[in-house]
Amino acid sequence: MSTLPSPTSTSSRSTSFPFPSIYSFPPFFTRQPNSQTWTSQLSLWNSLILAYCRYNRIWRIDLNTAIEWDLFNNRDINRSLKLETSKEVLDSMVKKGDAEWVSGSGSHVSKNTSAIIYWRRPEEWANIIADWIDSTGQKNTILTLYEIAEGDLSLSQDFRGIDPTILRKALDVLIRRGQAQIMKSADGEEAGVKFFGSQ
Amino acid sequence: MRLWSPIDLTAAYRPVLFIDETDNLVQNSVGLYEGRVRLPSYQNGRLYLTSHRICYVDVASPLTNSVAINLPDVKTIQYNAGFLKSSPKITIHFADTLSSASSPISPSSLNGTPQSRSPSESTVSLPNLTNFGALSPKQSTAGLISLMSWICPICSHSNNLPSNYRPNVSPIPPCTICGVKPPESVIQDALAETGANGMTESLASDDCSSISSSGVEQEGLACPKCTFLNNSAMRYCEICGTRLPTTAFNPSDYVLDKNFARRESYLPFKMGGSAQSSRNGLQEELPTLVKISFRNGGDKAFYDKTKEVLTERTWLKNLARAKQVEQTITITKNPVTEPVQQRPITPSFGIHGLQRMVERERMHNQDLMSSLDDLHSLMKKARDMVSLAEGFAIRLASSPGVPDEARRALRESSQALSLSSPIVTKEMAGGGSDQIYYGELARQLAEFLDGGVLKSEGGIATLFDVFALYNRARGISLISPKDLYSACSVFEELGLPFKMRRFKSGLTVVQETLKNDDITIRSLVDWVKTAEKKPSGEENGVTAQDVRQHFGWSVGVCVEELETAQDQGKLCSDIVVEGTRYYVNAIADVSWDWKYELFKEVEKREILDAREPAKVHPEVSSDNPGESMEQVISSPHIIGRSA
Repeated sequence: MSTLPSPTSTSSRSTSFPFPSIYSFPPFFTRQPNSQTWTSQLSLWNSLILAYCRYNRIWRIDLNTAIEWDLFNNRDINRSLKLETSKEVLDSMVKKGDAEWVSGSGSHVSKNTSAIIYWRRPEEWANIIADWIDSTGQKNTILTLYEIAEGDLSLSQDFRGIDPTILRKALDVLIRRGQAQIMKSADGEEAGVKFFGSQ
Repeated sequence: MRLWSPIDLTAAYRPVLFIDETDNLVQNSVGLYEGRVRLPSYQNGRLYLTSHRICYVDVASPLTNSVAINLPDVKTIQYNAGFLKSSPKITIHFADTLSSASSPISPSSLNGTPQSRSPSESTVSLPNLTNFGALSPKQSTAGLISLMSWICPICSHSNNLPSNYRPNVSPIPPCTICGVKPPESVIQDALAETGANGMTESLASDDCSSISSSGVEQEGLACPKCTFLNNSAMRYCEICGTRLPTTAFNPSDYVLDKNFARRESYLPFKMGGSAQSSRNGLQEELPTLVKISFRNGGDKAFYDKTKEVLTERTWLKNLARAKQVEQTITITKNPVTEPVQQRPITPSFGIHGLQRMVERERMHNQDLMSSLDDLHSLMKKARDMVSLAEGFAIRLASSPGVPDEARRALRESSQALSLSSPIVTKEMAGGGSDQIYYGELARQLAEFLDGGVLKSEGGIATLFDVFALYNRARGISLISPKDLYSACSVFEELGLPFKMRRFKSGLTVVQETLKNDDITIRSLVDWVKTAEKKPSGEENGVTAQDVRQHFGWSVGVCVEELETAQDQGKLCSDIVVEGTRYYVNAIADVSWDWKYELFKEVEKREILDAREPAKVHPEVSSDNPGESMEQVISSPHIIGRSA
């Protein structure tokens, strides 16, 4: 187990994200008035955000802070994406299903600044988790949600540290397929999940 | 079409005016009649009343069907009010003696070639009648009357002999007063006698026109200055170097409108033969009146104005000036580059020539000096200055080795001095509607823009610029922005080579019709492709200022063109605090397969679901350890598990 890469080694990648060439194209940071160009620009931003988040294993983006990231700031050419443009980008990602706004529950953040980024869709996560359960022989055992995201067995998995909301959605997919079942504790809280073998 | 003669048109289909000729009135939707015959292909056109002519410009085919009549030939005009379905008409009567003769201005008729004449003329009894190509009115009339008349022995009336009269063949014509046929001997006597008289009269004439009867031609040409009889082949007097009058007219004489002016002032010219026929009882064959039918009103105004012009007789006043201008042009023309058959040039040889040249230089210098003394004298000399500038321009254009800037500067300065044609005013459209006025204004604008103004603006000029430039050229009686706008709006309707274009932002420009937006955008984008790269190879984009420097458009136009290109998706913009820079649109073309590039995932998401789970299974990835993040992360785990 000592060979396992530590989370720190994963996070150290964030500095070396290989930005695509379009990232150095100044107009890329200006919202293009031509609708066709803008559509193309949106999809490029969409890809860039997904790639960046996946590379750096980022599950959520809060625009208020993320706007300062190098994702939205190319300091080499001194260009940055405006906050409202980045919101538009995320809006379009939400429409495509690549992201989802998190309503600022309880916090003072205004609506639509924080979003979950689905660099894999819940269905994909469901497949991956099911495969993982299968390959690690954990069928018919009950796992807590925490164990899936943070347990020893999931250390090297893609879904390591997965956002609980995404995990829950992935599990929902499995439940619909009849491959898993949520176990509730006595006080009604979701305590764990039981996986069945895929017949 | 004997009375109506073809005319030259400008690029904007307006008649080319002679020097000193001014536009007075324009009326559209008119049709022409000659005699009582309706001219079928001349039924819808614009009528221009100038100080010298009435010009008809056909709407359908202006280049072929544009004609004019010369006002000096007009005897009377008569107004016929419309009745029921008949449009109001103006009937123009021509002086009998001039009617058919003076008007045709086609090159062939200028040569006096007889093929366009009626067959009767080729059989004229008197020798050399067809050679009368270039008689001045006064002389020809005088000479012909004396040549052709016979005195009736009954009533003593001086009758004219028909041109087709042949001694001993034709029937003897009766006296036009008493109707009695004279004895044949009277006619023969008259022929013999008047032949001699005509010669002497012609010789005695000090007019600079030609001496055309054959007898004189054989002997030689008398110099108008020193009366030396030169050989008829000479063009300049052998003694004093004065230009000799020539007998034949050269069509190339009429290329320059300056020459038109001169010819105009000498009106009317005669084709000897046809003059004869019209003088001798053939009037019933040749119509002596034309009618103009006004289908769209304006008849009364046109009639009044024509009457006014006929009373003024401007052409007489300008006779002297026209001569003077002609002289200037002659001097300033470069003799070397003139083709031989061009109009004769004042000889520059001999003491006489030198003297005259020096004299003229001195006069020009005086003109230049005195005209710069104060503005008032400049105003007085304005026309001379313009003609002088034109003269310089001609000389410059024909001599090699003159720098282009000099030529351009000269052209521009003459442009700034005045418009090439008299200014169009609202009064010109007279009784007509604003539509006529705007049409004319549009035509003049087109001429103005065509003269290099639009070129200096890079082919696209904003309405503001056009307004300023055009009004500056007009100098007086400025037009309002609304007039300009209305005039520009009818460019395309009138088939002029310009159009008005409104950008998205509302900025309105005038540009050539040929340069459609696509071509402009394409050339712009092509240029941006080369210009956006810095020498270092780094992409830097272009600003509106850069475009201005390259294309010569005004900045407003540059911005609009760039934005149009952007709207079409050809360019994209980079808006920063320093301004907006434009780049060739790389965004639309880029596709980025990030999943493959970063994570070596070849498949698409949908395929992933359909595939065997083993494909993405850790076991498989453990078999081929790759650089992909997934595998890097998952492989050790699997190894750990299986071990």
